[in-house]
Amino acid sequence: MGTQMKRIYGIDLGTTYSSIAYVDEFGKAVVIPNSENERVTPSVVFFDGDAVVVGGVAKESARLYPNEVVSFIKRSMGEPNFLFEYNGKSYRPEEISAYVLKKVAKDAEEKIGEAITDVVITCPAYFGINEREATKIAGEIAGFNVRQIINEPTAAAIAYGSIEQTDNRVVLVYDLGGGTFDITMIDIRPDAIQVICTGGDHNLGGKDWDDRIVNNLVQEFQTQTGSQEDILEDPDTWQDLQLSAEKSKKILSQREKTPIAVTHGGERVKVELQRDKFYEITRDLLERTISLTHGILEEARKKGYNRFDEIILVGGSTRMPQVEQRIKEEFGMDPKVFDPDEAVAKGAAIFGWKLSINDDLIKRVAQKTQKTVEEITKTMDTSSQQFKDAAREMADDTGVTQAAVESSLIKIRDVTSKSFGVVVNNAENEEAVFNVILRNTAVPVNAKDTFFTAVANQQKVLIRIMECETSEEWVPVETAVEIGTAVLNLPTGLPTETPVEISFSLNREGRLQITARETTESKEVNVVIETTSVIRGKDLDEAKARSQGAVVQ
Amino acid sequence: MDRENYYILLELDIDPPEQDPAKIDAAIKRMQANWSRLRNHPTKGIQAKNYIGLIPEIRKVMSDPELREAEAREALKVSREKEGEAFAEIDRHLALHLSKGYVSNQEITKLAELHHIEEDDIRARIKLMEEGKLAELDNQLGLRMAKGYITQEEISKLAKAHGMTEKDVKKRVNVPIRKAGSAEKIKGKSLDKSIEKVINDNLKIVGHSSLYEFLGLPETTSVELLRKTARKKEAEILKIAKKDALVTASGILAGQCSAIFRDQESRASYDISRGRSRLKDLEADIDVAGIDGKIRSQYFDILVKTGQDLGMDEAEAKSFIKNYCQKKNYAIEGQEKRKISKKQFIIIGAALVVLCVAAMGALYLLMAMQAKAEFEDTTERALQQKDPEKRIVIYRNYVAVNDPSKYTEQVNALIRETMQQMKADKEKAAFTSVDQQAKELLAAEEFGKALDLYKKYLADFPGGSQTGAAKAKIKEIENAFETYQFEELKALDAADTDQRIAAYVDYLANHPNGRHKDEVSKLIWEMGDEYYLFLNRRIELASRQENWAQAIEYCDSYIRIFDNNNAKRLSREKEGFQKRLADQKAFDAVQAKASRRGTDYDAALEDYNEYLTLHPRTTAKDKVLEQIRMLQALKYKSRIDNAQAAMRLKLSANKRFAEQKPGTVLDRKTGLTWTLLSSQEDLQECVSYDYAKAYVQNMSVGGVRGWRLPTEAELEAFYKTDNGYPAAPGLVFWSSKSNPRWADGYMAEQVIVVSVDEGVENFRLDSRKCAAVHAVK
Repeated sequence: MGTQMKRIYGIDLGTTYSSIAYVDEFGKAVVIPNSENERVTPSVVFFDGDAVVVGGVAKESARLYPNEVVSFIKRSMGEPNFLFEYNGKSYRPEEISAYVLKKVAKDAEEKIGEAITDVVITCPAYFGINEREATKIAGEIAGFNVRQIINEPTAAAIAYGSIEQTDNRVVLVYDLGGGTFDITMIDIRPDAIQVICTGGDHNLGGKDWDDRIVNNLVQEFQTQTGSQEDILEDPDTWQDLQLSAEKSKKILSQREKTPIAVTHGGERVKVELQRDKFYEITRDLLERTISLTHGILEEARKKGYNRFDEIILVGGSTRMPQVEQRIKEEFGMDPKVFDPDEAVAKGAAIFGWKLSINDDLIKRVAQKTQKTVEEITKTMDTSSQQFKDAAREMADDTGVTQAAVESSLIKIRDVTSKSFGVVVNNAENEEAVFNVILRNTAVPVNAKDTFFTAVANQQKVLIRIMECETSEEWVPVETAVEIGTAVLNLPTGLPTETPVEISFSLNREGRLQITARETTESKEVNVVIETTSVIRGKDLDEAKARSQGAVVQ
Repeated sequence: MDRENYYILLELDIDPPEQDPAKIDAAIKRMQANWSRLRNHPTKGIQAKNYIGLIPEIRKVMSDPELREAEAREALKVSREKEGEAFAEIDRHLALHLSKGYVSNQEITKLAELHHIEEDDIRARIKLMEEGKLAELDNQLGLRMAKGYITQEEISKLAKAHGMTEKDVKKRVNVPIRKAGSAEKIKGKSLDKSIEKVINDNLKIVGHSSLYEFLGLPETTSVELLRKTARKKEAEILKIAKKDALVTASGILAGQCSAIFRDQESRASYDISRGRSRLKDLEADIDVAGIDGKIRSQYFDILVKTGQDLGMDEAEAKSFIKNYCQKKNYAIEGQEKRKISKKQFIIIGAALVVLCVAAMGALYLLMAMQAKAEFEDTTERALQQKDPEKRIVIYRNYVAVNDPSKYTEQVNALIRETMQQMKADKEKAAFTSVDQQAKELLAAEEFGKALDLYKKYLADFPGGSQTGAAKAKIKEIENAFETYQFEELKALDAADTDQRIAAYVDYLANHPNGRHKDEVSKLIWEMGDEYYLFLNRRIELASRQENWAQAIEYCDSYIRIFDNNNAKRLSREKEGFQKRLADQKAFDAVQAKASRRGTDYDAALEDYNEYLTLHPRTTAKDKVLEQIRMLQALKYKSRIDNAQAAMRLKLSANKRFAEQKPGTVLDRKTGLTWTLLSSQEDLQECVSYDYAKAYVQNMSVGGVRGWRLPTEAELEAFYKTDNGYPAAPGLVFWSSKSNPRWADGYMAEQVIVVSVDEGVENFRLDSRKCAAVHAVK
């Protein structure tokens, strides 16, 4: 082996557990265990004096110090008003997530003896602009160069596609994690992985199953003691039940029943939870995943995909036997359980690896052709002879097999999980959102539409940029989320109905750029959507400084 | 105000209201941190999310002195209302005690303790309770009528309970009265309590009282419709991008609806749970009645009535109350006797039953022996018969003649067996015949008829022994038919684009799983551009003819088949056509309306103008404007006709003037030709000098052109001499004599105007002012 490529690590930043992976010198994706030798780390943060403890210890501490522990922070990503207070300081979700990222990276650095600088972080396909931006910022606060944010199901498909290299097939990725549910249809071919459509709910995951158990335990406690007290008002009891619930959920995946002790206010009650009861109280949650799946199948049909070849189960919550059973019953095929806890991190690592090979190849081609890296990137054609030569050379230099280098040239095409549009007046002269980019369109995508001024001599056009859930062109304003605004100043004296061209450009990472142009004098505004829902400015600088100085254990 | 009050939410002082911005800000921060902590609480999480989402709004309201003051006022009101709600419960408990005619001091003390209020407050409530007895009856009637009807029995009971006649009670009933009531019974399995809690917590957030109300359907809705609506609701919620607490809660509820309304049984569980939760009130009432460890008999009756109000029948209510009292160790006065008599009755009954059973046993043995002999004889005789129909006759006779016994069932089984055999034979024969006929039809390429034969066979013998064979044949013929049709498709003339595509689509519709499905789909796909161009020409033609409906149909015929960029383009075009079609229809309507106005041009014009105001962006604007122009012309013409007729009448006695070409008049005295009407009658308004010049230069009357402004002298000779031209008094006319740039440098042009009034001198007038003009030649 000669020169070393820059390594890019893949991090699965999960609601309940996170993990990190890289591609080893044999081209194989490997998960790096943490300092407790666990392959996944609980995404739980415990503020302990000046130190920040992340992982298993933090999770166990929740019983004793419920007010100093933060869990499930991923569910609050992109929520501007979420604030965790500790010792008079306020922490935003991005900063808390940064601690989780730091912990998995720090442990990995110690294991492999190499500094981690560049990472690919995953997020649910269903995340909107705000949540994606928050995830990226979390990585930056943790001090990383975040190379890309990729979708969890896509990552899982990459991991899956890298193992089962057979013919073309259409795969449905059913990803039920700790806090989120994603359902994605993906066309896997030997030379390309293409997402067809995606949907889900980022408030539906294993935690909801846990909550149902907690509720049940509270009721049992009330029945057995005759008390009407809401024992969840007590933070110690709440945390205690939350942990017990998760444990018993796991046990019920193996056994028919499990005993649980509920202790509160000096009283102790024993509850025996049966698997049937567990199914009964969580049935609606499972049904929601089935409804969402049907929704996606419907969308896929519109795109000409009337069938799929297999269903892959990803995410820890798919270990619950009823999930597999229900899917089999609904779709008449045996789903494949594929590396539920690790597939996402591994896929992200493979994606990172591919990025670094690409970087290297481009550098080589640039050197040979005496062009700049930017020029090569712009006109990149990986099937050209130049690239093949560079790949051979690189294989010789780095010791990675040529086949592996070439296989990294596989194309990955994702879709947008949201529609994006602007607020305009419709034919009835009412305000409505007109979607310029429709949900489930392949990214990157550029789309353009022409709109008209409403009155003569209009001074300004206010462009309200909206995010929507449906793939319809027109949607009511109240069902959309405003993610940014732009103002186009117009020259004076324009007649009514002057055309204004609005172009949307959405890149692979879900970053949106808007250009509005008035055609008569070619006035233009460019806006990169900077969401207001994430940490920015002074707060961000402070968070970065704090993160640098923090001791994460 | 529907939302929660921010003063109350922030736990700030209300009376007097907290005004210190620092304290308010601290409270907001404290609650923000608190809600953030609760963000993932199993039961309070969604509510916390809701509150977190409210923070920007809370800050806005609480930092604006005016809004804050209004908020404080509202807070005071809300807290008073809450006190009122607390009294509702106290009143119910008081009513219970009042039923015996008075409330003891001990009871008052206990109630005061229970509700944490002063004893005097309780006494004040007792006074108020004397009023409104009819209101109570109405309340109970309402509870019973809620199910959509009321039973006669319920009316009788209510009448008795309130000491009224049934007739009087009926007067207050506004639903159908039924004879026998099947009051809803509370039996079966209820929902898990934790699920019930999840549902209730989320219903609270969305502000509904039940899943039925959440779906917007009455409780009597069929489970199928509930399920369907739930799915629809789920889909609707998914479409909303704002994932606030309301949407999250709605999502959970929609999921619960789908799970609960999946079948009758689980729906019943939900209904039962709802019923049971209502029973909690009853339990609380029993606790109050049993404050001193015993339930007086008056109380017992009232409690039973409360139970009935909740949908139980009398027996159920009694048993519920007794069970509850037993659990809580409350003694019920005067309820002990009946139990014993019931026990005795059961013992006597049991003895009688034992005796009867013994006597019947002996008789049964004797009869069994006779029956066996008869059965054996029958089967032997039947088996000697070869014809199955005759065998059946023998069996049937046995069944008809003999009393039912275990053999009867055996004989019936034999009958069934024989009949099945006959049926199978018949099926086989029919199938052979169908097979033969089909072969001939297939030889003649009559696929459809052959298929019909097998299908008819399947309909005639559902589940018969040859079903499998017939289905296989159908499949085989369908395949052959499909191949045959596919070959025909390929032979189609390439020039007939629309026929070809129609045939392909037709093929796919007829053979959705046909073997050549992919090939045909590919053929269709390949025609994407060709068909688009073909339709485009047609659409262009239809547009030229303004046949929008046709154009839409062309667009649809493409969109139905293709989903590509062309289809997208056509969808957009279609929207345009739809708008044009709608506009055209609206235009047709207004045109019809306007044409009914006849010569009332003003009304017609108003119709069109109104249309333009209502449809400012209509594509039929040009047409409307054209109509308006036409109407204005008609209106003008009609006015001119009238004015000319009036002028002719005035001139009829005056020999000096003679009309020549229509609208022109010759002044015999001067030999000059004038227009019959001056600008005053023509335009009905005065005009500026520039306008007057242009007006006469451009005018054409009776086909005559070349008009000019008259001179001062010509005007005077025309109007101000004997038999002068008729004119309204006070008019002045522009003459051709103008003095541009008046001497003192004043820029305005001055023109001599001639007054028609005797004794009024001609004078100079600023050319921008207003006068009449009369053209001369």
